[in-house]
Amino acid sequence: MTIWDVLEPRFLAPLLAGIALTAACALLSVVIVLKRLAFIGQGITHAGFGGVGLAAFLALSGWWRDLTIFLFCIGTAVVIALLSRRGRVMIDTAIGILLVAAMGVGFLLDQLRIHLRGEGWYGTLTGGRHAPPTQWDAVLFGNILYLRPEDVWLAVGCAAAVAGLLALLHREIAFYAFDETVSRVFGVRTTLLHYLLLVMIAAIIVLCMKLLGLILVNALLIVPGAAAVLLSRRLSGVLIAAAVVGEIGMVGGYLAAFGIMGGRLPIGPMIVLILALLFAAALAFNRLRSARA
Amino acid sequence: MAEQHCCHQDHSAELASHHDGDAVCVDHVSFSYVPGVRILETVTMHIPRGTRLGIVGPNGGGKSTLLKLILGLLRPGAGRISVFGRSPSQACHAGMIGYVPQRHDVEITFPFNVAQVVRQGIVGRTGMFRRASDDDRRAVVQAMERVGIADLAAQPVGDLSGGQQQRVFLARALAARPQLLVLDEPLVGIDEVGQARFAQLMEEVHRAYGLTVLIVSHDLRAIVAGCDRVACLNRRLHFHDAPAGLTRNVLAEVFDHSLAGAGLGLGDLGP
Repeated sequence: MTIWDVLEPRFLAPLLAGIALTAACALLSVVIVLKRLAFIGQGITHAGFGGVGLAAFLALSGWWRDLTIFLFCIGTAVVIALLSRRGRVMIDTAIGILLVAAMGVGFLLDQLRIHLRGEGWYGTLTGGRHAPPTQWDAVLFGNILYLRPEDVWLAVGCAAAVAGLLALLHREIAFYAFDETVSRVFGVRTTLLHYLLLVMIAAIIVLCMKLLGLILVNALLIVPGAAAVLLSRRLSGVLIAAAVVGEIGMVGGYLAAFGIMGGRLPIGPMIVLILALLFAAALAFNRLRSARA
Repeated sequence: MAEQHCCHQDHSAELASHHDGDAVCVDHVSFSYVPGVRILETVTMHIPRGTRLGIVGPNGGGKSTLLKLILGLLRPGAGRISVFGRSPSQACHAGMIGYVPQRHDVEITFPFNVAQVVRQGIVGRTGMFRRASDDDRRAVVQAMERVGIADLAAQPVGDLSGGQQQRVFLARALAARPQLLVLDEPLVGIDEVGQARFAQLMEEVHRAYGLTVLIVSHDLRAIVAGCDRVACLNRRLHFHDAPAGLTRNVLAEVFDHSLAGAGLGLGDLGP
């Protein structure tokens, strides 16, 4: 394969999905970085493992599998929020516990289904279906071959919905990220915004999973925002910079994976590597500028 | 002399019912974070509309807790609080409260300029998915002109001095066109000149907007001139009256005895 093979529809479609999701991720990442939600993002992505295991246990595939993972992510996010709400448990503690619990449950359920295969009640539960063995490396690092054509349209639609919601609510979200307590006193519905953001993050994670995998999707949810706040001090500048950094990482990583070693290298890690280099460049730029000032 | 002004049972019984003329009514409120350790003990006070109340007391005396209760960020363990006859959170959602938080509570590396921060004041009032009304946008411009930061509109908030940031947050609160203005330790980290300028500004704001003002401070001297009434809080309410009635004895009761005279610089007070 050469870099020009990207122009084939079967490779162009995932790239289109990637570009759309990256735009949504980049905007979300600015909120995540400013509101310091990076660790909760980690919690939600790892909850995805629980969802993958549960879907495998119930022998679900296609949309049902995606929905199960999505709901598992949302459920975990809600439990984290409820646990930490009353101040009884610190939020990073709650995330740390649920993160590993969800992963453990996921692997356990995935193993359990193999051992339960002969049991009658299990056959009734799954309706006699058998899920194919779980491709854990694809779950971890993504595999675009798992991307179905309809996924592309779902990704584009979801990315547009997330971007649209962020645009419509940008004043509320900016205030909420700037100072949550004060924004509540000024009449901003902070609880609603918090859950809305968690739902958006969970939806994006499930969609990005096939592209980047559950571990690497965190790069798209953090790096663009983290680099952007180093590059600009204006909100509009930060949003544009985040989108540019994200898209360079996505498109660059995609092309690099095709161009280097004849397409035998995985795309997800390539994208993450480029994003990390872009962050280093942003950091250097920031240092240079403040040294000159 | 001191006895007369201390807010004991006989006095509080009279205040317990809500007066229509009250902006804030705190009625026998107690609060504890940890069971058994009371931060506030049956506190009763009211703030008549259009007046300025300063709440002073030592650190850990429950000032910030009382403030959070009035802002609806905490719920009282016992007793009742009303703000313009509503619950505190209803009053917040109705945009009745303008809040100037303590300055170190704010993340200052944010990519927001002055105008964007002041505009935050009208976000709750505008409501989700709606455009700001012309009146609200005018209120933003007026608030920036009133506190003298109109020329800083495009500056990142992080670049401003402490006193300038304080004025930005005051403008944000005024842009909300509230009926009650709440300031939490507004003078912390601001030099003497800045403090004097801020006091003068508060005087102008009070006159121009006709607001009810509630200032919380650990520094009595800094706020006493700009208040119609002072409340001294150290778990209980020890004094709640015009500042002229403050005596050394009351202060000794509220603050640590050693601080009462010397640290507060209240040399002109009576015995």
